[in-house]
Amino acid sequence: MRDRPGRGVLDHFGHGRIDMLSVASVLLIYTVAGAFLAFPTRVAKAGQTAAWTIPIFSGVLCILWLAPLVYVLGKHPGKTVVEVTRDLAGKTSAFVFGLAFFVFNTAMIASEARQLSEALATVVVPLTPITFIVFTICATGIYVALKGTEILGRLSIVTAVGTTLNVVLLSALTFHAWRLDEIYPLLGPGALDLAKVYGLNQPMYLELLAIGILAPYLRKIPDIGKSTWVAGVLSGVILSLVTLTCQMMFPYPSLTRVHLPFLRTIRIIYLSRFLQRFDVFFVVLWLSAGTLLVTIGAWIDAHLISGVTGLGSYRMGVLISGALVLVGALLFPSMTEAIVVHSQVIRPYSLFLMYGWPFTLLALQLIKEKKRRTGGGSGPNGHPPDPSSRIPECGGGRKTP
Amino acid sequence: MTVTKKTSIVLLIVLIFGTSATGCWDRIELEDVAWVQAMGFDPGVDGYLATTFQIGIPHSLRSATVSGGGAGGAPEYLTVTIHSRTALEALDLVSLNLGRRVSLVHTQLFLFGEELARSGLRGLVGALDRFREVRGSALVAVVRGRAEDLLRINTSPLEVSPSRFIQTVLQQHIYTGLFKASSLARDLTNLSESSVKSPVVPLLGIASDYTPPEGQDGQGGQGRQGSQGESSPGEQYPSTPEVGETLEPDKVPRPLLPPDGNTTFGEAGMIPKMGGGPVTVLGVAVFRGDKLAGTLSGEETRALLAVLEDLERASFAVPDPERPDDVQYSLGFTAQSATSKVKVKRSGENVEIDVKVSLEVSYVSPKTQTDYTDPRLVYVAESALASYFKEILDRAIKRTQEMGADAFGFGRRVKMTFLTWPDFEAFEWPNRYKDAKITTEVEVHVRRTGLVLGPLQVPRWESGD
Repeated sequence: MRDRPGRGVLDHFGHGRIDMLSVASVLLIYTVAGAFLAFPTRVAKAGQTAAWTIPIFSGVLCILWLAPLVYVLGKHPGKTVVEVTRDLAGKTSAFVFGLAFFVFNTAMIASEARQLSEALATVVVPLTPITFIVFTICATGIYVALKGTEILGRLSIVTAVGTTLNVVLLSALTFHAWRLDEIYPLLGPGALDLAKVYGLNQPMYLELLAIGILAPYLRKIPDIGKSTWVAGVLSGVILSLVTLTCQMMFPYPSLTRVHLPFLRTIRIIYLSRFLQRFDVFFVVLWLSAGTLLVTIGAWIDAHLISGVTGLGSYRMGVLISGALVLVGALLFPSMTEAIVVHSQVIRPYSLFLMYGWPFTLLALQLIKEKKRRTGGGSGPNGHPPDPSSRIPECGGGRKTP
Repeated sequence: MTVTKKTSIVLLIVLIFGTSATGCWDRIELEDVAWVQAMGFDPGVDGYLATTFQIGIPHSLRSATVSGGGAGGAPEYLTVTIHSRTALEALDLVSLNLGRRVSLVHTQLFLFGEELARSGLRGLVGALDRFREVRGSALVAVVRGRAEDLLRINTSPLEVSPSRFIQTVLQQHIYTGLFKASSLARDLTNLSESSVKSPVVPLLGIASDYTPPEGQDGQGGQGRQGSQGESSPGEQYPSTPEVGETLEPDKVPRPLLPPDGNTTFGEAGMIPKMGGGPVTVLGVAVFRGDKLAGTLSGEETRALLAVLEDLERASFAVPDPERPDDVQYSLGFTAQSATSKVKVKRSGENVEIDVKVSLEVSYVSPKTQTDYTDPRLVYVAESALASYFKEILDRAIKRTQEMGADAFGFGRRVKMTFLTWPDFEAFEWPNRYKDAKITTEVEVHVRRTGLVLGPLQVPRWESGD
């Protein structure tokens, strides 16, 4: 694999830059799309009556946790997190972290694509084969991903606005039926257990690591932190609102057995005899968010494939990723398996990525800066230091050769 | 490729798809589906489940709506009972009998027979909750006797089907407060696994004065068959006697009156009436977990609703404080709203609950000669209603404590005294509810007196004063 210091994905894929709003929307959709699936059930199992606090506190912790990554990405404009890792820690480390991210990301998308398909099959099209639904979602996702980063950004903005309004509207419509006492006892499983949940449940925000891939596309370097912060806070609020709504409608322990709680919540809304099936209107929006999730997943995977293998073709990466998601989604024997694998295997074992990667990069970056100040040090893998890294960095990302 | 060419290609594709894909490939024709209006569940033979389906006959329903009767006397619905191991198996079996796919998409009512409810509903409601076609907002009720019987009789001359009647009658809780409407998901399924509140479901019954038509033996048939609605007035009440003749009192049938003289103390089927429909709803069935533990009368249900702050309207007939033993003299009040405050003190295993209910009422029908609208006497009327309502509230609480079923949801407040869920769960509130010390206080405020102030005056010549 050829080392390409100073050259980023923009050179390989030829995509243009996008603004902060697009990046924040991509991150937001990527994080909250699962809220319409089994997300509230998962947090209710962990946080019991205090489940609604998990998205907020975990979100805040996650933003703090990602701060080192944002700092490091800001120091390496125009590069993805994998390329930064290669620069700082060498090819092997970049390969390990990149591959791990790829595996977790693909498994997560495959699991959620299967959940989405099963939800559709259960609620809307029970006679349609699941293979057909999964294939349609993946094909649509791949098609959109092939359109490039700008289209992805615009679609994400539209869907993020729709999703946010949707959550607020539906929550408001159920307000009259809320039972505020359902949040008691306030500490749920207990203070210590809750603290563990806040910390260990941070992989619920594994999606926010996508900033490591999105960063080079941002027009301004300071927007890396801003978009991460905005997406993190907004997704925390939305996920918390969804969980709170579901908690008020399906009190603990009922919530732990409903795998599509937000959908079920909407089916309970009864405004008049003509407005009884709200899910019919909103399933379309949820389907859009779910399909966009697959799109973003494929887009990230294409970058990871490129970063890990050196494959310079974006289209090929997307197709490989789409095929893997399709196969992975169909590998789950049923929806229950998809939920269990997602919540008990993929999320917990992705902890090392969330905890390990940003801090490793930060430590290496600080060491590198210290060595630079003292005038010594060496480049990655013992090679002489890269002269281009001494060139003062300016906004724009592309370095002068 | 130019923009015009691109547009043309897109339009062509849209046209091709528009003409070729005019329907969904897994379509369901309305004519191929039997739409279930209501379902009833009872114990079947040999441990099986008896599932009764009430299925609308669309063309007859339409004729009945337009012309006020079924098409040529044809029934507007059919009722069929299937004995099977599960309710969903019954769906398959009934479709074999009807020749149509049976759909629960429009089912708005689920009835449970008393015997089945006593044996436990968790398995059944769990299955319904899981089934995609069932709405969580569907109404549920417990039937005195068998649900099958109730779905088979003609319920009301005003409605074309029993299920429609039951839906409309269940809406009357807003105007009477004599029962509580409950939905499948929120009020039965979720609460059957709750540790803080017991499920409460309306109680339906066949009226005590109902006699099944000959040949039906209480099992009914299908469509508009039998019941009081078809009997001529002369069969129930004698015609007006000629001048000079006297009406024989024995010819007028006496309705069944409750022993304590208060008509709202009864339960479903016990309304003192003659004529009308054969089905009544009054009072609620209280569950402990998933099992029917007992019932509350209509008036006790009002006390329950007042504590739950669900009492939207209710009228009370309270004995006149000056002549408490004479039924002829009573004070009529209408309550528009009720608020409650529940305070819970817990020290270790002992729980003390203070319940304070506040009623805002209008003074509507004074069957008395005392002017209780006089500001100097208003407090007398208020305290009469307060003590009357407190007595009912105390009785309702005592009855639920005897059942071991916290229908009032005091557990919600008890839960707040704990910091963690495991601690609350270990406390086992449902098992401690019967030992809780509960004190009540009722406050009544007469806000309005209707369109007049005092009672009708007795003229001097009549009173002789």
